[in-house]
Amino acid sequence: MNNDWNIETVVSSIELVYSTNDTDKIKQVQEYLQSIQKSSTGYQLGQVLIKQPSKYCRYFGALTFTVFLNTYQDSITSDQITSIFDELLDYVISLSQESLESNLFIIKKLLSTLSLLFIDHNQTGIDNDVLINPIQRYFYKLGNPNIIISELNDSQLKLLIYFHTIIVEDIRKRDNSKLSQTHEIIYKYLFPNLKHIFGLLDSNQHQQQEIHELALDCLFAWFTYIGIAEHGSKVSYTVDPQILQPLIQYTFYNLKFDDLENRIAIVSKTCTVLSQILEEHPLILNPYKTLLAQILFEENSFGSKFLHAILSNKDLIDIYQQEIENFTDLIIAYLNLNLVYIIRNLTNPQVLRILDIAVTLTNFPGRPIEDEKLSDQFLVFWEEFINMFIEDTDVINEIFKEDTVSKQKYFEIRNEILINISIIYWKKCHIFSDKIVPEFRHYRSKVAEVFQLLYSLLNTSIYSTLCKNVIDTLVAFQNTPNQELSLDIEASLFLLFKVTDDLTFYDDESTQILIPYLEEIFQHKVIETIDENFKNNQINITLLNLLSSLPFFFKSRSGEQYITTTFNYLFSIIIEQQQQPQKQQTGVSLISSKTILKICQNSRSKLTQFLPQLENIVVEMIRNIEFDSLIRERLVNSFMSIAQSLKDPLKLGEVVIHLLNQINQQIELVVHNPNQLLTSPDSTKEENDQKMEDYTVSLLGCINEIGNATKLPEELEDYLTVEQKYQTESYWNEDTLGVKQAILQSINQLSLNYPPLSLKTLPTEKCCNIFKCGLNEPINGPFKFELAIIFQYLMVKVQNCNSGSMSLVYKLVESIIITNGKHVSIPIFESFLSSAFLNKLTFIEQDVDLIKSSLDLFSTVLEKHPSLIVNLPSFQNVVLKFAISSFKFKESYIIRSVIKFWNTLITLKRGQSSEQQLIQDLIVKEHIIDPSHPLGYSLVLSLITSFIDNPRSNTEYFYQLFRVLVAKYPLYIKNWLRVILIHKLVDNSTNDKFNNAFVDTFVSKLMLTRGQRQANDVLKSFWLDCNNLVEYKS
Amino acid sequence: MSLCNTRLQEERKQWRKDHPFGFYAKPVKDSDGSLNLKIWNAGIPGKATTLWQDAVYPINITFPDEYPSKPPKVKFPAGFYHPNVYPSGTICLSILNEEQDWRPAITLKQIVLGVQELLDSPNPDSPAQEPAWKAFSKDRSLYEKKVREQAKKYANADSS
Repeated sequence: MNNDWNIETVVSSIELVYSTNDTDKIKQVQEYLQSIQKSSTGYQLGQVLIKQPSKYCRYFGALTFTVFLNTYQDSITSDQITSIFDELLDYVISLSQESLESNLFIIKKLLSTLSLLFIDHNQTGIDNDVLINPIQRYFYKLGNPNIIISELNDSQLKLLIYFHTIIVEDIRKRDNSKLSQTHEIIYKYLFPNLKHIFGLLDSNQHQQQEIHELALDCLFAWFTYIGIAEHGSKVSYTVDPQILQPLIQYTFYNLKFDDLENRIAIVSKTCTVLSQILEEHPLILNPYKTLLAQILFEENSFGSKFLHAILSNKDLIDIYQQEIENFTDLIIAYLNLNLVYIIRNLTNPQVLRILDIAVTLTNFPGRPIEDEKLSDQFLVFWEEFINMFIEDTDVINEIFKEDTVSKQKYFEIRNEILINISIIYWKKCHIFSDKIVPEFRHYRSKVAEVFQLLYSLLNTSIYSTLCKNVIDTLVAFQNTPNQELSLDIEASLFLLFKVTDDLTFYDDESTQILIPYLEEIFQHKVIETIDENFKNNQINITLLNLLSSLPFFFKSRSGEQYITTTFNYLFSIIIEQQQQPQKQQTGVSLISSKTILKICQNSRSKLTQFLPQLENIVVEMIRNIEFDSLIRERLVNSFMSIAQSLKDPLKLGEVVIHLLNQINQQIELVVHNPNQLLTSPDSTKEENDQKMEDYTVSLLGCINEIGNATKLPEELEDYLTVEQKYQTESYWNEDTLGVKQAILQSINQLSLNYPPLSLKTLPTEKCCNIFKCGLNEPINGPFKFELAIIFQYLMVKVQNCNSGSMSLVYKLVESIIITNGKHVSIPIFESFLSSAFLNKLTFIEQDVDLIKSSLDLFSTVLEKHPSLIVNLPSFQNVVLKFAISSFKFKESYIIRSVIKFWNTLITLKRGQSSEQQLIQDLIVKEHIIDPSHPLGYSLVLSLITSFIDNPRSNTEYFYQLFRVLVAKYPLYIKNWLRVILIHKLVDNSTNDKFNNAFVDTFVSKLMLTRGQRQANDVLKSFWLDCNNLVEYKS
Repeated sequence: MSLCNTRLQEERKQWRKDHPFGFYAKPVKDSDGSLNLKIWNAGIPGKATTLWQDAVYPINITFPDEYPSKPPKVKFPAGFYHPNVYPSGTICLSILNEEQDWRPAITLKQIVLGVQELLDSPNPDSPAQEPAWKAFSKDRSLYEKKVREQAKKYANADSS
């Protein structure tokens, strides 16, 4: 810190900060100024600066007091605090006497510093009242400690209001759990002043407008503070409405229409304060409920006059936008508070008048978001309003139990209001610009949520109204096309989409009721009309989104007749996008392809007539490198889903081999003549290489999708007759068209023999997924390969692959073991182990992920088919050593895998008795790792060492293995543990705590658990002891 | 009404009053048509200018009976590609962990925003799945390609 400063230098530095634009210079000067502010002479600096003529210097002086007090708060004595408080108060008074207005920013900073002193020190037991009642001190400084507020001049009154505002605003920034006493002091000494101030303002109408505005800001701060004070102490402002009566009365006093133009800021602030009270402290307004309703809603009252004034003068709307929004917030706050009453008294004329005002404000003129925000503000209220009808149904039925006439009237009124609201929002959600801003999208989304709720209440009536609107507008548009009608169609389709999407989100059954209404729209050529008249327009996107929510419709008898038109439309979108790739259009074509896929998967058996047409499109997509990979793969899946539904293996075989031949032709081109595929002459080599790689991987992806789409369903007996099953099995046993060979050809060509891909992960992933397609098939099929063939591929692949591919190879073998383990022979697995693990050990040991993957594979084999591995010499010679050495890692994911391996090995649930005996012998007899100890000893040594050394977050993973060992080999474990721990902790530790008794106690406690759950606690406690830590449970 | 249900009612109210643009969150319906506030389906839009953009990723949020004392369980679909998402789809995020940063005051809005933030900012200290974690740490171009591929799968057309 810098105690050495010269006032001239400081003044010029401050002036520089406020005059230069050079950020480096400012930063440098600020660092200098901060160092002297924090120095032990900082306070003296503040004193000098506050007396400078420059306002910047004075402000900086006020700021310096704060910095100094924050820096030295612990070393300032109580006497010093009192005198500092007095001195700063003198500055405030002196500056306000000079000019409150022009010195205001300095005065506010000083008041904030005084507030800091008050908040920090009122609880420290200082024996004078300066810091307990700072306002009293202010009066004292004005020359009369018993002065009454009405005797203050305007400037003094303003200062008083500022002080009361700043104190409670600053308290909000503090930790409320330490402010209990401060809240009580404020309630006792400051709050009475506030009551006097508002009593005075309420009775004295001649005060300056500015004072009223300040007072309302002060009220806002206090009504926010009150909640904090009541939460953080025993004080209560709201239990008795009379306590706050002068404050509330003052707000009502301000809600006057007279002289609105001059008083608009006061009215606006009053609305904000009252909204806040209604939302946060509604009970205190209970005695004033009727009065407030009168002021807001009665004819000739403030509310109706205000509404009339703004609606009849467009200029006022523009000028008073914020004020109108504040007024609306107040109306909404009132409505929310009285919602139950409103819902249950809908036929009451007063309630109807209130709702009429709400509807009028909702229908405020202008475009939402852009011109007006009121309809947006009202959205949440109307949602609650509709929701309340849904939740209150039983009560309403009870109210009208025996009065059907009144009940009918009630529902007529309700429906009329709701229809009104829906029409308003339907209009409001019309697109009004080509470029839709995100805020308007958000608004439309919220409008849609209101319609979703309306559907819950009114069911299909709202849906049919929207459909009818689409139909009427379509007919009108077909006769006389115009922009306005198209926007009407778009808005209705948008809301239909959102309602439908919401229903499909939950279940399929509830959507069946919509089918007749949707059919009518399709009958009136909605797709054709939009497709012919609009290109690249929002209405296309909206229609597409609606179609994406309609697979249930196309699945129905009514809907299937429109699939041709729909497909034509969806394909045209994809093809147009391919011709004109744009960011926006990619999303659109992705939705198109997803919709096609959904329709094909849902209605596959009804779509067989589309096979020839679809085949042409799919073949073109396979041939054309420019199509998006995901779209290409989705369409292959769509096509094959339909082909599979034929249940005719001959036809399926023909379709599959046709596609595979196309794919293989393309692969030939990729490998031998890639330039023939690339169409963009301007692309760089890198871009072309990337494109070619993506395309090639996608060709493998297409094969994978053929495999996914031709998988047989789980309930095979329900899907194929006995004869079909026999035909399928026989056909694929023979595979006369060589489908499997064609698949293998593609895989081998790209994954093994094509250098640009052989060392990449993605092609291996696709190939492994292709093999996975057939693993679970109950009968033979195009993707059900002999296991020897898969292993053969994998053994070749591991000779030339990267680390990512190795993990995928291991994962595939895990899948094979899980699904077809009993068909894997020991020699095949041994060969694989040799190629993919033993020969690669050095490579694997350098990669933690591969260590984990290989341990996981071994665990799966041990768990599912241990006979494949436990008798192999390499298992005992290499795998077990590898698994012991893996204890050295601290990565949680490896530790989990290591522990799982040993747990599985020791329990060996599926092993034969000879294998279990073998494992037992290995553990207790065979000296595999250490020539002088059995494997079990080495395991316990590695286990306990790793356990102690691992972080606390990993310790839980170890418990199970300890428990299994204790349960299965109690005597051995007891001895091994004792020997190991005495050597490790007692002989090699300088800590006296680790003696023989410590070890014996732990081992005894652990053995007593017999491997039960209590062992966890014993181990946890042991780990804490070893690491000199304690349990941190609160 | 239980504390859990009261809080969930409040969460639903607050969500409807104010939720971030592009997100959705809805309680599921039980077989009798009533809302089950303890299970929600929600959608997380990928942040603009990230690999995750132009898509909305579905999540399932299950609130335990002890909520808000205990955090909800949040899951993407099984197999979701992200370093901090388990193969089952369960998200590994400190604010969703009772023993880490979960606090009863954390709102649904904060949860979904936290999940959105996690998408493009994986936590290197909490690997939850091997493929994405490995690619993220060792083969960034593969990671980016897979994330883009996944984004296309969950792509949305601008529909409001």
